[in-house]
Amino acid sequence: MLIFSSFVTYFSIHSLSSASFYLAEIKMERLRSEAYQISELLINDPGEPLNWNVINFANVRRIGLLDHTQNKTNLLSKAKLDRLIFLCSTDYNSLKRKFGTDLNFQIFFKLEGSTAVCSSPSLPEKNKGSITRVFAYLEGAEVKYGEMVLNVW
Amino acid sequence: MFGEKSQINIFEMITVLTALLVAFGIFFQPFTYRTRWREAQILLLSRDLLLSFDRLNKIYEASFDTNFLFNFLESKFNISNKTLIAWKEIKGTIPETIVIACNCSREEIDKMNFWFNPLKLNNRTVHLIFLQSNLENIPIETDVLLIKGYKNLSNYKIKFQDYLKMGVGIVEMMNFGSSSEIDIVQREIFGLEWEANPSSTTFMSFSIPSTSKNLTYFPYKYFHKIPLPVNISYADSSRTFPGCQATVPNGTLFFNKINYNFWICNATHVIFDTNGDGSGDVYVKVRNVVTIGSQDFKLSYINGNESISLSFNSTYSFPYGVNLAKLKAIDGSKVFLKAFSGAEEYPAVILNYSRVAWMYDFGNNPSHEEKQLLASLLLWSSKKKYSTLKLPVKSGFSSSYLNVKNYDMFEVYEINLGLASPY
Repeated sequence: MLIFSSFVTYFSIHSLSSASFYLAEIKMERLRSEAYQISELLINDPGEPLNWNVINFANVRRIGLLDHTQNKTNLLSKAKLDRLIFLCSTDYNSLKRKFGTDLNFQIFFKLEGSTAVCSSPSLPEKNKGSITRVFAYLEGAEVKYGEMVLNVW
Repeated sequence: MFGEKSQINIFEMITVLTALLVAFGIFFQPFTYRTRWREAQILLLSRDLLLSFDRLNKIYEASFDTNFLFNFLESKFNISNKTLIAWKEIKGTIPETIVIACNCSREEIDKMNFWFNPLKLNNRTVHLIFLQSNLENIPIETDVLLIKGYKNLSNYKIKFQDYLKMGVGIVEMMNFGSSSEIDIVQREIFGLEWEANPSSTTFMSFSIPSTSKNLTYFPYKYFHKIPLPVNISYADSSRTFPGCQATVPNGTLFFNKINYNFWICNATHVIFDTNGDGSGDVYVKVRNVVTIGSQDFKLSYINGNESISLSFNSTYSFPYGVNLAKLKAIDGSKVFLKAFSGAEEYPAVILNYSRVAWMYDFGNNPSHEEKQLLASLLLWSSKKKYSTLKLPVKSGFSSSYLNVKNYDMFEVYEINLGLASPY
């Protein structure tokens, strides 16, 4: 009886003390997974329709930055990138819907000779899923190096 | 209220409970959870970097120019700020540097370093570094062991087997005078058998490989595709050529035992003496073909005023013979170069598996085709793997990428870019 009681007590205390940690980890896993999926869409998908950056935003079904004229993974279009930055500042909530996520996000772009940020109006939380991606982008006929840090919370 | 006996029971219970909780803590360790997200991020970054190098048309440069790769990672990727270390590994082709340990004299080492540098291939430089060594203890960096001149090798069987296990190729340049000189190492490692005493031959030609699976395929390809550097001898101010620099660097080609002069006109043209009379006959533009004697060569590179690089035509054969003992390869398909005396065939180069080769000793004054022959064997027998990672990392990940280059020679190789946290 004594052994059983102490066994139950030990595992109850242990489970209660670990629960908060595991719940936080489950949330973090979801944030990381969402960050990865959004980054994959941005880097390896041209968007739908392919020329979404030059049409009415209401008709855009999906956002992707891949340069569809080259159709090579990790090769982005500067025009699409510029359009994304513009939409961030003007219509963040619609953009969020096009990404198919209910989470907030913030994207830092480090381009050759400049930086750009696509940011949520709300401030990032302490616990956020974060991912860094490296890519090349086409600006005119020139291919340049770029980096992207995506935070999701 | 409680007797002495009761007090002892409560005390015992508390003691047992404490002991049990401590025991549970020891036997039932708390659950640990590792996300491995950091590792996944590192793997993703190495893959992204390789793809980005390709999109930037820098994958070839990143593959073979280590300085370029690390400068790029520092200046663009800011690798130090990300607390990462990087390495690269190249597999399947000739690496940036090949270290050749040779039991040669100091003079021979200097000559070979001069003959084979700068070796340019597919627009990159391959550094062939010859080091003086004995056969017992070769430098740890050695890719190929070159044995020059006859030596009884019967005591080296285990040593050579160890070298081969380490991935070191072995090339020997030896002439044999009697059957007793074909010792156990010559038979079992180099695959040679004695047939008859030395005799003079009149010409030599390659065994043309029928498929890429033939053992002779790669040395044959290297001989005909890799541009051989020919260094200049002196700056010739006594001659003037129209349209050329005032002082033209002069060098000498030694083909078919005949000297042919050449002069570097400028960055794009070389003037060749094509008939061995000592005067310049034709202006040849870089990447074009020139016929010297009766053989065609391609002017692959002009390396400033220092040297030119020539590639051999794919039907090249040696129009002269050498004095050779008649050997037999244990497997006839391993004969790379044959010398002929009438209808008699004398193997002049024999290959064996594990990147081992024997060739005749060309002495101290070889022709350029003999130098090219040695270069092709050294390149064939070298390790086709190169890594900048010298010490093992605790946890790191690398991504692979296959690339193709075809400027002088068709090459398919694999680059692995690795990233790791130093802590």
